[in-house]
Amino acid sequence: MTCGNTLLQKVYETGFSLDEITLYLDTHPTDKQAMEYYQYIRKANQDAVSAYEQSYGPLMINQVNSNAWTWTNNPWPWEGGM
Amino acid sequence: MWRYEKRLQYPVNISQTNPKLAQFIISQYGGPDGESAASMRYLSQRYAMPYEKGKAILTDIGTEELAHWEIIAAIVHQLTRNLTPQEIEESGFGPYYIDHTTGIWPQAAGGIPFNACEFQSKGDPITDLFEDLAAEQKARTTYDNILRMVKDHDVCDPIRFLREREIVHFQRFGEALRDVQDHLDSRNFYAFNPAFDPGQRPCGQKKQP
Ligand SMILES: [Fe+2]
Repeated sequence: MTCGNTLLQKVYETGFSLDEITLYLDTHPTDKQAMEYYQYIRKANQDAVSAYEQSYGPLMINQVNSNAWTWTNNPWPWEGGM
Repeated sequence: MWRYEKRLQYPVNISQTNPKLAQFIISQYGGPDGESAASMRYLSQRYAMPYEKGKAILTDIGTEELAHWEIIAAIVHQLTRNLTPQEIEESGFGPYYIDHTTGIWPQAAGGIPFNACEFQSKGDPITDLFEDLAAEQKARTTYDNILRMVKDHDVCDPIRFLREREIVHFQRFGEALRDVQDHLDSRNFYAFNPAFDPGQRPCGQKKQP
């Protein structure tokens, strides 16, 4: 899976890793290695999200850090190209 | 994409159980004007919405309705904690209990299961937004009906919050409808579906002077 935008690609990758490791941790809460990976990927995901948001605007509604309400701006995810 | 925030949008702390009331309130979980229908309605309608403001408001209200759905479940859950068989029998909660114990299942107050026929996604943003305005009023009426039956402040408080949100949503959908209409030919609001025939009129209709 690639999406053409390298900053967004990083968000997709780290976001999915987060989805995967969190489900695993829900059923294996004492796995030390998994916990370390979670902390590593959590940070990587935060970095990827802020890098993307700096160029393309907010991914979540509580991350609009400009004076303009950029939340409504096109494109929306279901329109493709994201 | 969604991520869960581990809290309710408005707190629910009910100390006195009341299974009879739970059976009324569950209608907002899976009934005709309930929060599940609301969320599915708005989130499903987004794909036919051509304008930015509309896409945002359908996304954000659809998301808030999911949070309301969770509040209703929390209320029903707390109203049905630690019931005895005798309480179940005397309160009329028996039929629900037989099928679901005290689990949460989307049904109307009268026992009718949740059904997608309770909402519409018509593929026309004007039609959809008028449905949304009506839906918010129907939900508000249902909360009014519930509030008349509630005496416990612990239950009234979150229900009043939900009722107020219906009024705010009605207001915001009204603004979104005006925005859609502002994008249309101001002399002819209803001549075409802006999601399906952008910029043109269906066959056989003449442009008005
Ligand atoms: Fe609502």
